[in-house]
Amino acid sequence: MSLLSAPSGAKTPDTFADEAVGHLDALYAVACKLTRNPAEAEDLVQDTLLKAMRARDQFHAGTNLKAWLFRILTNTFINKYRRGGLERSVLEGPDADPLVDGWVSASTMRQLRDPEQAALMPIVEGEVQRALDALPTEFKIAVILCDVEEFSYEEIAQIMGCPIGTVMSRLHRGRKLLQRSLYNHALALGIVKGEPVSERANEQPADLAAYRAKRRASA
Amino acid sequence: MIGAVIPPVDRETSRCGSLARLLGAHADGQLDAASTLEVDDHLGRCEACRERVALDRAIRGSLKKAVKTTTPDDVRARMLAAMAGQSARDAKQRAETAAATAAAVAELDAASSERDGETGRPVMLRHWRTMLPLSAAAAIALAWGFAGQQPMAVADSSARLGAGFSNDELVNQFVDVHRRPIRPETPDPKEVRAFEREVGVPVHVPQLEKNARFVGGRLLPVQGGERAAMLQYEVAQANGGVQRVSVFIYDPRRVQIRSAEQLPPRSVGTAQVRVGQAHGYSLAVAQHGPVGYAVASDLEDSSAQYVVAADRE
Repeated sequence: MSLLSAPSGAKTPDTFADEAVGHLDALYAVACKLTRNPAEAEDLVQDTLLKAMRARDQFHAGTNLKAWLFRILTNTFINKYRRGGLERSVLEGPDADPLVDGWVSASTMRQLRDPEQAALMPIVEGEVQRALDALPTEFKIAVILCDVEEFSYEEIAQIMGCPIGTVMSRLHRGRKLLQRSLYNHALALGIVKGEPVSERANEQPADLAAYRAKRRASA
Repeated sequence: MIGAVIPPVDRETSRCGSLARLLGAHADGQLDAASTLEVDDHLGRCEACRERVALDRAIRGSLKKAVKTTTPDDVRARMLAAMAGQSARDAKQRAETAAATAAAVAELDAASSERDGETGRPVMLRHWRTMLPLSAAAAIALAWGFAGQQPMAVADSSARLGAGFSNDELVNQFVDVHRRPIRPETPDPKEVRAFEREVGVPVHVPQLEKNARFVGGRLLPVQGGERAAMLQYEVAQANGGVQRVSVFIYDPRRVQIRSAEQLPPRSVGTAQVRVGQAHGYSLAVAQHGPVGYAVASDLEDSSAQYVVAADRE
């Protein structure tokens, strides 16, 4: 009869709840970034935690609780806020950009992150924040899960329910978009010099020839 | 030897294209050993890619600052309160489940007459959400019933699969039409209610749960020229998937699932439910007043829940 009186092998609720609360800061931070609204972020996190508690029989003890919670959070967010088919078509279409992101020279990239520009860092950070907000949802989620929460690609694939190749592609394209907005912003502020980069980057960036010539000269 | 005439710098630059997508994965430490060495080698020779990686790293630092935040105390307090409330509800459910399980076991012990429990058993009205653990417990009871009244303390899925309907034309038809659903005649619940004329009993469209979407309904010719209504639902799962659920409504005086009689009844809330497996799908059968319900789904637990949710309408 002891078998019958313990019908599920799940964790006791308190242990489970305690462990889940341990991830509250991470969940809340990401929810704020996704919803861009503290009240909605709170709703999203609460939905996530209560869903997790109700479904805790489905969680296998010993596996990654944080990844499981983030999976619930991202699914809940996407189901609630998906904005129709437009964004999907952007995401699932071929990468419109050329593979070589030679849109900006090495020296310009160095300037963008140069410690000598320290005074400009708050401006740069503000722009990174803005650029992140502007990313398509799936890119944004992939970038946050990887760069902020430091999940492995495999975990991100599980959280987002997609193959690892898709994770890599979303990360690559998301980061490239971030770099591009940062570059254009720095350009506008006069921090760096060059040509603005549009959404459709040139196949042969103007500065590549000059870059090669410079390399040849220095070789 | 054509490669020899290409200046080394160009050959290296041309590799940027093929390696561009790997730079991020390299920085994330997610490449295999061979690719890591290849990228290392390239980074040693290509200033532009080194800068690309360095810029990426700097942006990551900014990203962390942009996203990291601590949860305000009031938000944290509300979360803890909500979770405590859920914990309390869960504990109450567990207590009820234990009581119901005890009742089910007592009923099985007195398994000689299968319908005598309808009035004598303590009746507990329970929201269907609370019944998952109960149906898991009842699965044990099913295994028991099917082992020819030999007590069997097993609860694994192989025991569940043993609890099946014997070959029954109607069960086969229900499961078959659930597996390969025919397009619904109408998505309009009002029109579905009009099926009452054909089916002979009231046909309501139950709201199974918040995540369940009613897809549509159709009439299904069944044995002896009778008709059943088939209601199709899609239920969004926590893992992002979708579970299909088919609810069949029929007049049990004229349409009978005979093999269900051989399954021991479970008491779920105020309902008598019989759950069995057929062709890898689960079918739960219940009668509520003059209306017969059968629910087909992929999971036994779900079928039991939904058949009760259906007859609560």
